[in-house]
Amino acid sequence: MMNINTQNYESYFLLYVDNELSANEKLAVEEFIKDHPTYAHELNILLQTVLPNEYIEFEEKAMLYRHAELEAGLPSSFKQSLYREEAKVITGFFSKTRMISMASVAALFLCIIGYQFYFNTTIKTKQDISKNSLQLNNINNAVATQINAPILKENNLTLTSKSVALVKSDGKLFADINEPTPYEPSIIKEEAINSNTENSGPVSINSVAAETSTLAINENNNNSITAIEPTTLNNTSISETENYNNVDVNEHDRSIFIANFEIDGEKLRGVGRRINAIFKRNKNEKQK
Amino acid sequence: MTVQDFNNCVDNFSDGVYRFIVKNIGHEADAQDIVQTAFEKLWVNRTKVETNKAKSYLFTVAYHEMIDHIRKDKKKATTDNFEEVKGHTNTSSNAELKQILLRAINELNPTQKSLVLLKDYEGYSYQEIGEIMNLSESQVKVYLHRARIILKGKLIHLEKLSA
Repeated sequence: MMNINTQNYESYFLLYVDNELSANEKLAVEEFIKDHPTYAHELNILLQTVLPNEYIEFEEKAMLYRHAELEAGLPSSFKQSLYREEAKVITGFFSKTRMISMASVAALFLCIIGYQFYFNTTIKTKQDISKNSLQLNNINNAVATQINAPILKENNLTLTSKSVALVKSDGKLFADINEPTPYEPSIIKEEAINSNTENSGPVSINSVAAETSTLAINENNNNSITAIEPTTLNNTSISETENYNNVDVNEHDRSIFIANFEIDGEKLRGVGRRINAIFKRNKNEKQK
Repeated sequence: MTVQDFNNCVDNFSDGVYRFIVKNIGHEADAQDIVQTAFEKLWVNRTKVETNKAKSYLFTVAYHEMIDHIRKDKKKATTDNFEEVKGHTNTSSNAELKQILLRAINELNPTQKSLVLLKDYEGYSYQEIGEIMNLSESQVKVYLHRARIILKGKLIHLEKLSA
């Protein structure tokens, strides 16, 4: 039950004006007015604050109406069938920046090749040297086969020299027997073999000792070939010939040529060995 | 909401929305634009808005559009708004009192004015007004009561002057 009094009447009057009271509450307010007529004027003024009903027509209703026939559309499933997707443009490989970088790399290669053609005099000399060494290699191979044949026949040796390389470099000749040649030293000790090679001039062949055994053939001016014991053959000095003086058998050209750039092979010596040692060390540590 | 439902909303609510807006901003062309925008949004969201909530949705959209319009156009004078509007009042006996009341309402702040208009013209409850204007029910009650007291004071003041 509402308890309207002179202290709280105003809030009830406001609710009454706003039509927020129930029917019983409205009756209670009206009863209060009857009991307190001095507050009736105040309620009347509050009732006057309520705006009177006023009709204002919106004259542009025609703009707002929607027409079913105009709004009718195709079913969404049919619309989906009409949609087209734009082809994806692949810009990854043939992008502008990539093309520029590729062009710059190509230009760099062209510059290198051009530089090589202009300044390839050193390469030409090296190529000439290698050609000469190849020819000499062929000659000496022939010599070696002709020399080895009688040795094998006479001494019953199983000489299986697989590779004999003779390289002439800057007028120097050296022979390299890469693989060991099995033999019996007692049989071939200090045996000279006369060879009648096709070479008219004297030939000097130096066989460098391999790991276990090496056959050194020394052909003097008398065209004699001498088989020496392995223990005494290492780095044996051989008599010089007229054509190939200063034969350096120990020097290997380990340089690597890329275009006209030379990488000193001597500096690379032992790199593989060092890497292998590192791997072995790591492996041992892991095993521990 | 079907096309027919939407057109029914136009018939039933466009006048009320337009009155609410034009009484607030006092500019017919702008009010028409706001009403049109509100109905456009209702049409766009017709699948989301239930038909029985369409009136509240229209007033909500129109109110926020009006607030944006007022913020953008603060320089525009809002006095004498009601004089510009062509309206047809039911009461003709107390025209002078009505004019005084309309001037007093124009002196209220936009929130209070909207509260009075929604309450008196549309008869919304405190809760419904709160939903439209994004206020709590108690806020609506307090703000509206303050507006009534201000209007009452102005009427008493004018009454004393005329006496």
